[in-house]
Amino acid sequence: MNWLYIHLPHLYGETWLADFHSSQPMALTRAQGQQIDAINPAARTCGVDIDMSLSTAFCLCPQLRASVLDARRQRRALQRAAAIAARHCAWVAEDPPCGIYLEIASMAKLLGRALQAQSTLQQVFQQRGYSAVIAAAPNPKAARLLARAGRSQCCDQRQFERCLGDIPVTALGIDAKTELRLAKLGLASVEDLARLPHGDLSYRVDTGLALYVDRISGRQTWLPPPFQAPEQFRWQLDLEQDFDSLEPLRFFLAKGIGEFCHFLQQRCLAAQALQLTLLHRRRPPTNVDVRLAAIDNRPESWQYMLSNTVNRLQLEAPIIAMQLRASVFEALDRQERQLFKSVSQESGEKKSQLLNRLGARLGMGRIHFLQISTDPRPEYQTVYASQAAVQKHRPPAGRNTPLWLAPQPLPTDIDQYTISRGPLRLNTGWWDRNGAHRDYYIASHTTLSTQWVFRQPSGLWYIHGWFA
Amino acid sequence: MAGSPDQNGGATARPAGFAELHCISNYSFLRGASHPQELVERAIELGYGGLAITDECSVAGVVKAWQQLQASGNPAFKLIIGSEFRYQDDCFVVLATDKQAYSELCRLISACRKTAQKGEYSFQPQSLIEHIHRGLLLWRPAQPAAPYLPALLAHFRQRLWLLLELLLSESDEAHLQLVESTAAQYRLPVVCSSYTHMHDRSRKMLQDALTGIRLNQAVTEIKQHLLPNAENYLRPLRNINKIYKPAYIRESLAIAGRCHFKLDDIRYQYPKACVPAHISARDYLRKVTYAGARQRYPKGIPDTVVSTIEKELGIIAELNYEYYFLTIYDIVRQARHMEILCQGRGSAANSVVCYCLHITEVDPTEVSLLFERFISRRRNEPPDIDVDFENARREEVIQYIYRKYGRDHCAIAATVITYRAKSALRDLAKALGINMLQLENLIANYGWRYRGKDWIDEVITPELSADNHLLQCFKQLLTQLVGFPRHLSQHVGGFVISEPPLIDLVPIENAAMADRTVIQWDKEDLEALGLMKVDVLALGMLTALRKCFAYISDLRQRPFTMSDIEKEDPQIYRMLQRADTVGLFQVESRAQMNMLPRLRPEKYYDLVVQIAIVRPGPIHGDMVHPYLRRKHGEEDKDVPLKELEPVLDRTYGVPIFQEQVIALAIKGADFTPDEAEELRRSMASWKREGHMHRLRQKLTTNLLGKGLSEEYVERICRQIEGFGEYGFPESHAASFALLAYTSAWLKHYYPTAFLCALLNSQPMGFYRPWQLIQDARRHGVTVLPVDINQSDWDAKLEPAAATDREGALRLGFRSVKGLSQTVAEQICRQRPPRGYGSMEALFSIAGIEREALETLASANALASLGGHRFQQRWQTSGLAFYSGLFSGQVGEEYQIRQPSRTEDLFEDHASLGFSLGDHPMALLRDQGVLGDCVAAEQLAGITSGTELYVAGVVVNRQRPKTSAGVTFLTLEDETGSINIIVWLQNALRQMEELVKARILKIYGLMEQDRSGGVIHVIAYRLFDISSQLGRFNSKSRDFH
Repeated sequence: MNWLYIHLPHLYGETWLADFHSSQPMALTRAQGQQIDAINPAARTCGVDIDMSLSTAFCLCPQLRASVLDARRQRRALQRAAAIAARHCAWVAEDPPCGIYLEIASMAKLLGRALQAQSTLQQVFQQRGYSAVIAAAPNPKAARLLARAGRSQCCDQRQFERCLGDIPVTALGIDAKTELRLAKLGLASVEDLARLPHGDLSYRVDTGLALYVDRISGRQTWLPPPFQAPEQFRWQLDLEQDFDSLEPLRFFLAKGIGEFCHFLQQRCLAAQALQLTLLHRRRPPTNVDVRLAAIDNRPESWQYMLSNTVNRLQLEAPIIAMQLRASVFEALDRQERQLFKSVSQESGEKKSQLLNRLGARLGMGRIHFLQISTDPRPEYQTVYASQAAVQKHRPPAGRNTPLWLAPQPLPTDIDQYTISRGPLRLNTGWWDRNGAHRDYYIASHTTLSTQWVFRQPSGLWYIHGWFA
Repeated sequence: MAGSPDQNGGATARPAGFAELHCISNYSFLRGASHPQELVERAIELGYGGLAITDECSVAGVVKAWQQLQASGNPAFKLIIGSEFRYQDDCFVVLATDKQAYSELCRLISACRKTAQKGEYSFQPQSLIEHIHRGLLLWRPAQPAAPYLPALLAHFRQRLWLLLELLLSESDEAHLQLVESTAAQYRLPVVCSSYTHMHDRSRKMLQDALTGIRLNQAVTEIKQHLLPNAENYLRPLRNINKIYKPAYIRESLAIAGRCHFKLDDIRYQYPKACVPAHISARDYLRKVTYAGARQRYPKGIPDTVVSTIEKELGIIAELNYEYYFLTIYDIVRQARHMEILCQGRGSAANSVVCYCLHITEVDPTEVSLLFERFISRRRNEPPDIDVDFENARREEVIQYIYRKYGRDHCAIAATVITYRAKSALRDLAKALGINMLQLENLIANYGWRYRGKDWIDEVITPELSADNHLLQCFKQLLTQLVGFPRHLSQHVGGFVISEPPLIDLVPIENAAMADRTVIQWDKEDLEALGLMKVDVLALGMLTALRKCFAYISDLRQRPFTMSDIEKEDPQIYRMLQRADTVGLFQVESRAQMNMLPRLRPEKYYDLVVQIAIVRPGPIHGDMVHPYLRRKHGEEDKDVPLKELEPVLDRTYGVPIFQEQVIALAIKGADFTPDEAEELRRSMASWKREGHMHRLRQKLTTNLLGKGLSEEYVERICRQIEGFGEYGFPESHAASFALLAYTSAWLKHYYPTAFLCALLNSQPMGFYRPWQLIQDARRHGVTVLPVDINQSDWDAKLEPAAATDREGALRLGFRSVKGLSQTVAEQICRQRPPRGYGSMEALFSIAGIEREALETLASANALASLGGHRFQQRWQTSGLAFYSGLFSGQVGEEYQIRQPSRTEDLFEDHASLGFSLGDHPMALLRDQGVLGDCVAAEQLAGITSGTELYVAGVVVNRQRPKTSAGVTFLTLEDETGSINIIVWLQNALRQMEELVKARILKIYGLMEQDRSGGVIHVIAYRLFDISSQLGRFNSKSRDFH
């Protein structure tokens, strides 16, 4: 009993859907597909099954709430579950989409015997809202088979071999074609397969299956690749006394920043955000986001931003401890690892510096990047974005539109103008409530300014911008 | 004051005329946002001098536009036929000036279409020079000096214009500059256009949504592809005059003046290849008609028939339809020559000439059909003859037509696939970015069959989106999009044949099927232009009948044909009255089976009524019960008006057929022939407002005026509504009744041959092989399993020695799922006289792979070689290994266990789709699962009104349109079939069992009608007992 397997049949729903175990029937469908991939117990009660077509499911259960299963979120859900398991075991391995292997023999001192480990983990996962089937067996694939067959058992080799006769081949999770081949040979249980000579099973049915059966029965050793938990940075300083101000703590914060940047540089990573948490004695902690304009791993950039952020901070209670945390990182480009910097790199750095300074003074939330949208309405063509991004659609050259646009169109009297060009007609935007029906003109005002004016079907005129 | 084109200027002069020469309709699929009819109507309304419909590489919408023009009665308006071609950013518009230019355009479109995938085209400016010699060319340039320009200038001298399209957008200025500088440089005239996409500005929203659908993205994601404004519409002349210079506008009229081609100029010429040399078509038709008549009436042609023939030939000669009849005659004669069974149906069955030419099989004098329904002087349109051929051999007939008349002279008509409620909902939801999963839920749960006028309000609910504005847009767009053409498809069998190359009449493009070409016009277009269409249809039952005749001929050692079938055999009618009709043509469905014991057909005409009565028309009109009561003498025959006697007499005064209702409208409600024709054509729109409302009003008023009861008139109206849903004329029923009778006769006298023919013609019909075999075995037919040493590819008869009795049926390899015909034939060819002795002998045949043998083993076809199917499969799976490279090795002895009864059953169903061994219900009965259930054969002995349990495999689930929510189930146990009725409330309560169960146990009330024929159980509770048989999987025919 060296290995334990945790099977989490409702992993996705239990991770991402808050009311998965409520009485609301829910179903998850595969991306682009009309077939159901997972359901909650309420949906099962209504007669909805996995692999059923969505229209049949809706017919059986009109109140069914369906959503599309996102592969990225599915991976993250398994990572989360594996991270939980990793707190209890040194060797944890992911088995997508919803299983985890745990090597427990070497952890016997910590976890106790298999039965004890099984019970501990069952409790851990149950407390976090997961329905888990956990089984232990001499090898990882055997434990997997037991758990996937719904048997929360702890078996040694002999016990395992004895119960193979009761486990149907469908519990192997093999493809439907191979399953059919087995049925046509009258091979119904895993024991039937385990009794077959490897070569015959391999040739007559499937090579992969023969290998799988060997690994289950322990004739061949297989070990799963260990799970690598995603990088996280954590730094904490417990203070010996309560502090009413952060001023005397700047030195310690600088030390924390130094450790953070060292953490990043060691791994060739950079980050854009860091969370400072200040713990108080009788109040909930204060969380402060420290955010740069672009990713960085240099102490001076982070130090500058943290120091300015701290300056703006009003403490509501004395501090007893401080934490710095970060979990989102980006790998540095190869170019940035060069010894000598290029001109563009230098100018990029200067731009970041400037943005960081602005952000530090004004707050990052007040810095916007301008982007051009494809909306034909002038007031929607320039949009603010929190991040600089590559412009996908460039506006056509030679447009007769002013650079200076009024924040709101201003009513005006057309008699004061001489029209020089137009009209340019706009009739669009019906998809929201701000549809535009306008005729634009370039017109000279009596004050000699050249303006961009438009007329609405109602006959009213507005200024929308200035050319000169 | 600024000069907006929409504002009234100071000038009060009447604006000069204009012809729009670049206009796409919604036949430029997912681009144009108006129907061709709307465009023509609006252009006339605006006072345009003309309009060119120039769909992109297509003339698919021009006939609709032309029909609208005809209806508007505006001879001065010029409808110009043209087409648009796009090359990089340039756009070319070709306009047809005369018939020859039109033919050139058709050839150009065909050439562009034929070199591209279905629905696409490939165009190079060089093609214009190759194909267009008389047509006019309008060019909207995108660059100042196109490399192909010199060649175009030289070829299109005096026929080339620059197209100026100012749409009040940002690019107008540059476009104007480019066009005017190019015009000055090359001395080319300029003509203006609005590049029309819609007849009215209000369609802008739809145009944007269509762009979204075309690009398969939400409109908010593709704003750069949307038109910035709604100026691509038919602008009022005042606006045109404000935007363009007068010279450019005048040029449009000048071009329109040069285009003289009208669709009326298309003079269709019938193919002449069907008439031998040195004889006129008229004489030849007379000759072959009388020759046929002598065959049909061997004892002498009755005088009435002679006079009818003369009358029909007179009308045919007057309307010059000889070639049409002779073409069909030629095709049918050739099919017979190739021993392909065929039979005409539909209105052609009204014609004695068709009967004499062996196009149809129903003697019109026997069933008093109306020739005028088929062809009339007043209706100046070619008759419609539909001919059914054996489905398996229809391709041979099609290839004959191609061979005889030439590939350039015939093609298949198009079918325009239009947006219907569900497709419009789905596509629009995608274009508006609405939650598709929620929409699917609404679609799945909305009662489409019973939807009313307000269905859009019922489907588009706040559940779909929180944005009320978007939902309003959705509703508005949905109303507009339903009925819009989506793409062209291929008609089921409508062939167009012409004497001159067809490509000169209409463009031909690739169909989805290889080696098939399809024209750009649909059936209605062809009708409107008077082009001949022959429906070469496929019918599975004809294949089965021909095969059955062949088996009987072999058995009797002499040819057996349709004429050997005894007419009006009382035994056959007795069988029909018992609803013993599994496998028969037309009368095998659950509804027909229910009706047969109640109608109790006793003669051929009863069968005609039987086929027509179980249709929406008579059912909606509540005509079924009065007919049954009068037929059985429970009620007196009653014709509501004396003048209706000739029309309604043969159906006891109850209108059953579509023809009778039309005749009733003419004679009873004083409809003019035109109105009656309008009624016939537009029954589908009977409920709608508009012109049909007027007809409905007239029918009601006049019938009430003649003293008919309000209730009766209301029923007639409902019946017409039903015919609109599914029209079924008497002539059609008459043709089908013949086949139904023939199939019944064969089943009665030659049940084994009939089963053999049905199995060898699969897939066809209402029942799966399993039900056919079960039914045949209950009729005493011996069915033998597939056997490696006995079977052929097809099922065959194994006659009893030295008799002409049928003997047993041996199933063929075609029943084995996954076995290829080539392999099976190879096995049969190589089979030693004493059969295969071992698996090794089989495996040694070249081309026989391991998979084929495994398949045969699982189907238990190797049983005669010894062992059970699991063991055989194990052996076959290792044959290649141990007899090939590793032949020296001896496989480890491994004993595979014997399959259980249940496993045998599963394997039979998985490999063959049926089992000759245990019936699943027999298995369950033996296991004691069905202790309290009454078997199907025992039901007849139980008193009606008893509550009981029944159980069976679900073989059919049906929810007919006429049943107001009732679901009909058919269960089958080892003794027969059980009919179950599930009322709507029960169905909703036990939806899971109803939809999912493969084996059902039902508690309910047994009912038997007074005639003692129809037995059914009204379900109270449904129990899904599928789990009792694990992975047993038999497919039911569900909700088709």
